[in-house]
Amino acid sequence: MAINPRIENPSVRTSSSTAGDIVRNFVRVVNMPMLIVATLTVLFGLLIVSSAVEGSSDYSFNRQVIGVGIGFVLMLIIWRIDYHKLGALFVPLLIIDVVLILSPLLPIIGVEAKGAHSWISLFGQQIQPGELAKIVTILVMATMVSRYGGRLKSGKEYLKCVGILLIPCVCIMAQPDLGTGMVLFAIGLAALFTGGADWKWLLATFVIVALLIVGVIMLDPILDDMMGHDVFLKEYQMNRLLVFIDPTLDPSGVGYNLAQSKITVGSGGLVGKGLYAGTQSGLGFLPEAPTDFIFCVLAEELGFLGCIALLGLYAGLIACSFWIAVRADHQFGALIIMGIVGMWVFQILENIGMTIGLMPITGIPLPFMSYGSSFMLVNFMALGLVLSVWAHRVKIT
Amino acid sequence: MPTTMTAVAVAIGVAIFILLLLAVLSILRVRRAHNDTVIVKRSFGRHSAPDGVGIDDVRKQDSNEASQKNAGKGRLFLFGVFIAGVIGTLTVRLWSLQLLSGEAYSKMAEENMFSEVSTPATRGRLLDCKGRELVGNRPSMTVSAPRRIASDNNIIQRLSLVLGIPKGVIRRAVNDDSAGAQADRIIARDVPMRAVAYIKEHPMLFEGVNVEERTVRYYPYGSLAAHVLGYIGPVTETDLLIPHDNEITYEMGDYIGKGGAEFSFEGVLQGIRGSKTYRVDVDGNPLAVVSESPPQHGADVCLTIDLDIQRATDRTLAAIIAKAKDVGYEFINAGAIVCLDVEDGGVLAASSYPTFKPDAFTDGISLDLWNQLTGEDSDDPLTNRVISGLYPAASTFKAFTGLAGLEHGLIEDETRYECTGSWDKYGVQWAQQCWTYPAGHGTLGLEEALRNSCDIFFYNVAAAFYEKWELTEDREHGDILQDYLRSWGFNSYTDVDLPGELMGRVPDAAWKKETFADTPENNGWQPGDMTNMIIGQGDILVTPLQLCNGFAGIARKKMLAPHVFGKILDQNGEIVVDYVPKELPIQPVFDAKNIARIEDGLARVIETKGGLFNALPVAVAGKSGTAEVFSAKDSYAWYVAYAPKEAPKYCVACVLEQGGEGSTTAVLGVQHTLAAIYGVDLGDIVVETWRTGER
Repeated sequence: MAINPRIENPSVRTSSSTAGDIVRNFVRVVNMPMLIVATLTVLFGLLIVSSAVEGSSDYSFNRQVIGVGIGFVLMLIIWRIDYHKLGALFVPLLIIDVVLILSPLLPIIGVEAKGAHSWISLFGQQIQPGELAKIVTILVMATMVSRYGGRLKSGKEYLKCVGILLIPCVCIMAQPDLGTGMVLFAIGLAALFTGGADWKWLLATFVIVALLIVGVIMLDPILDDMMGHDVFLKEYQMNRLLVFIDPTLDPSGVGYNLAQSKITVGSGGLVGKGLYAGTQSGLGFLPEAPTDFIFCVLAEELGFLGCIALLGLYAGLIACSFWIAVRADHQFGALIIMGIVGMWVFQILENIGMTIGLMPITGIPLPFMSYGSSFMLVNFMALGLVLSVWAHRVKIT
Repeated sequence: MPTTMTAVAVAIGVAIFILLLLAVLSILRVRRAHNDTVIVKRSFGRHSAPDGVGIDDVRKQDSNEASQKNAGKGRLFLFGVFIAGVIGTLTVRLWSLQLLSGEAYSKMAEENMFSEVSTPATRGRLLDCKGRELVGNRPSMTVSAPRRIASDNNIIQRLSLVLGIPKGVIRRAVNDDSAGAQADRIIARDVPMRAVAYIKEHPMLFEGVNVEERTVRYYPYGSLAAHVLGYIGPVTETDLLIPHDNEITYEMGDYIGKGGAEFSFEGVLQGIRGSKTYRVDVDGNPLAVVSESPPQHGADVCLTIDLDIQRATDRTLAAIIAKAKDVGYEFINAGAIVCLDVEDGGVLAASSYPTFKPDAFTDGISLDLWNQLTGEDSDDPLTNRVISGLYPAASTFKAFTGLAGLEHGLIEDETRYECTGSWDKYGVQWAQQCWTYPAGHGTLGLEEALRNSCDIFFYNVAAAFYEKWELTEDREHGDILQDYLRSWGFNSYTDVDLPGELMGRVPDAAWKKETFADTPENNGWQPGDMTNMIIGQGDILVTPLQLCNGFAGIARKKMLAPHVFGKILDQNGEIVVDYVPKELPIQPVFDAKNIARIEDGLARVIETKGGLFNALPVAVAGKSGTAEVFSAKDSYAWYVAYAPKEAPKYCVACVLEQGGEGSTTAVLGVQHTLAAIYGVDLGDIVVETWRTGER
């Protein structure tokens, strides 16, 4: 570990290393609770994915395990990086952010699927750069907000931060990927809120965003009619909103996903139908079971107890993150963690919420659970950052 | 749901909630700790870092002013509370969904998983009285397609090539609406296996086209006994309005009996569908059979029809009509023969001509054929003339009116009337003639009057009845002749177990008054009405079955309901239900001596036709009739007879529309039927050349 002689942590002795020191240093560098909770969460996720992909030729459990493996290595690398150094990379990070988000629009590597340019194909593997942009956006926002040292009182400062946040948010709409855009917005909001932005600005932002959403929903059908094609929202997105407002709408058509996901979750009962014994997912009634609706598989097979276990793991993960954030040696580290927590919480709320009718349906994956490597890598990178904040709060001898 | 488990689950949920709150509260604790120690450096101060902050800048950024950091801690605390709220909301929602509504959703999941398919029951067969199959079932490969393929020229072209059917015919079949708008249209039946294999191997080329094995109704003898057997067709909404006697449920595309025995015994023949419950995947593909209740196949029904006799009546009827046409009966076009078992009233054979092929109806009859069968020039082949054909009974009626005269004392042992060929009791202007006019029969009694079919003898009896009626104080109830005729089954349903029977008519004063209410000067009951009725003419109408059943009644001295139902057999051929002879509620009253006189007369009738029935090993008794029908160009010919005379077993009636004289043409139908019964070969049917003359 690099030692910065200018920073002296009084609690750490700078004497020669002994066996006792090594143990003490290990405890300082490694946040055991976080690691244990994270490990349990990842294993739980693999277990559920193994059930969800069973008997399917479209998904491969091995691929998911490889994704976890790569993610673990990435986590170790990022863990070792002193997070403070990342603060100096604001401009390059912002550029990387934009490049990542816009890369699927490039001609050769970009791949179009379901009307969106969200994927690129590299070395025969498809990845979603928008997912990686989440991490970069977390860093960008944390850097930006930490410059103002937890004040953000003046409108100019606030607008600057929001302006920076808007860059990736607007870029992602070019793909377009509404879901990821909302996650980026949630990340920014978490950083701005915990970064001490003045209430009135936050409130103003909230009101403006709410009005924008309502305006888009109201204007969209009219504009669609005028232009003859989808302007803001695609038809399926509009339908999802309509189903969210009226869950009984067309259960065999546009309301099918919601109706089936609620049946799947509800039929789990207290203890579920048993692992690998889900009928809704196993027989294909549940669409997109391993990816967007992985929570339904868990809820059906392990029941309410299984759901509580997962929520408990998430709560533990978030609690550990808070624990570390509070003990970070700099606001930058705390803001990184708050951005990560913001991302996790929003995705958990949206993903679980949509399966049980609390949120409109969007294709946002569930952290550590959903099948798919891109977001798995992002979660491990986020873990790496949190651990880095913990490890680099002190000088290691 | 075990309550302890629920309690544990809720406790875990609460614990998570508390855990999160503790984690959030710990933020405040750390803040307090900071004030005392400097173990951890926190950086929530208000110092802002300069632009272009670097690692050293961040590190150097010191936060010594503890008071400035409180705002940042507060935000973390609020964020934590928000997260706790999110997880709490999700927990509560899951609790309500999985624990409160869990059972309802489980049921919905099960509905998703299982698919119930009903399995059709095989329709029971119709057998003759000796167990020979009259209507059966056979498998047939059938090609069908939904209507939408009509617009796909490629598919129609390919079907045309594979099936060897012209494209126009396929298009017409696909566009046919007779089986309902939703049903697949049947394009071809009995498709050869090669074509079946080709279509099945190339599903992409024949999208939407179905090839399946269907059970089709099979009529081994074509149109034999078509009117008795009836036909089946795809069930329609109107069919379901007719109540059937058990809990059969029909599905779209099911067949239902629509005529004849197929209709009458629908409840026995149809059977009850079974059901199979499959576990299915999302596309409805069956994965496993979960439960199964086998279909209850329809039972076989043995009819009273005797295949041999039926075949004889069908052939005889068609042959007489064809031959009669050849020899000058230019208007003959239709007729009926019915043969009853005198002992129990069973219908041994019933033929109606012209006829039809029942299998044309099975999958919905084509419009062309329907128009052909029901058109104005069709002679109504779908009408079962045996029960729905109404004719004046003509001289055959004299058997009943003669008996009425005997019973009411209007014909005594010594009663003789003189026939001079003409009769003018009610005035010269109302003179009526015997069929022998200008010759007469001379003076004769009842038996000879029957034998010679003398009208004038019966006119005198009619006059006697008229006088009796005139003297009755209560004229509404004075129709003693009519009442007696009705006691022999006329003017009422015979209660035969076939649909579409008509009741006929025995006119009386009340009927005439009501029918001709518009012309009050002409609606009084006249002696002429009585004299017409007594020789079976005028407004009297009977069905062949009524008349035959009446003669059978004379032969057995009792009125029974005619029937085609024999017995119900189970799948092992064991009798489940056997027919119990049914006496008609109103029985005629007669003296044995009187009925013997009628029988004697009927036996003498046979002798007049010199030897027609001599070839038979038994003696026969019968009566001819020649009815004048106002709208027809030629007379309607009747003949009814039973045999053996001493111990009657068979009673046969034959009617030929515009068939001339009963004793010339209709008698052949009876003669050949009886010959077939007794195994006598009479050779080809020979019809005498058309001439006017005797009745």
